[in-house]
Amino acid sequence: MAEGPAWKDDFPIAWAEDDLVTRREFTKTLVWVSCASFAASTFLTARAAARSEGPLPALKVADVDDLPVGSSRVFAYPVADEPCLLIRRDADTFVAYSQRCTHLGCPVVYEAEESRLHCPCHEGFFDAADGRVLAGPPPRPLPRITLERRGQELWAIGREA
Amino acid sequence: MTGTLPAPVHRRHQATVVYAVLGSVALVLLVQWVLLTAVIEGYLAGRQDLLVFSTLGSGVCAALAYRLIRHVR
Repeated sequence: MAEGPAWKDDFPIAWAEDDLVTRREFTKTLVWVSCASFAASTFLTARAAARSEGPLPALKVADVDDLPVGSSRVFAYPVADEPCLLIRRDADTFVAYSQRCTHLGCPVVYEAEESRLHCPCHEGFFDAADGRVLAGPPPRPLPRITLERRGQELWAIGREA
Repeated sequence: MTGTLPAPVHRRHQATVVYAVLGSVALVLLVQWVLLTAVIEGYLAGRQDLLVFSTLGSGVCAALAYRLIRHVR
């Protein structure tokens, strides 16, 4: 008859083969995680600083005549993987925003009849006039692209956060 | 001082130090994760001030955690 509880005979624990972690080792691991967290913060800060250096290039995005009132057009600015949305709200009003929703990055679409931008992923809505959040989960307004009209051409010349 | 203590008391004292350091480092790490979310928010929103202050705070937390771990080496 066994001296200990019966389950110990049924499910013996092989202590010698177990990879034990001491409290000291666990605490040291937490310190490594702390250092990694600081490194990640430093990396993001450095990347943001590098991103904000220097003016963005000017890029022709459309001809005025090619964009009817109430329509929109997708273009990439300032790099190829940054989709933006150019909108003609009325005859003389053009606005452009980043097409990435500030919630989880889904592409937003323009709804001319409501004068708003709609993110279909989680029902986020932005005002087409200034990009502010109207409803839904997005935490920030859409980044706005600064436009300049040069005759009958529209140029993107900068980006506001 | 601890060298003069009886062995069981000495072990208990050591365990208390390890638990105190473990709890403190865990608390520091919790604060650091909050700061990391602030850094990510600042990065996505383009807020340089938030980025810098949160990163500095994270650095202070990491230094504090490193200083605490020296007590259990």
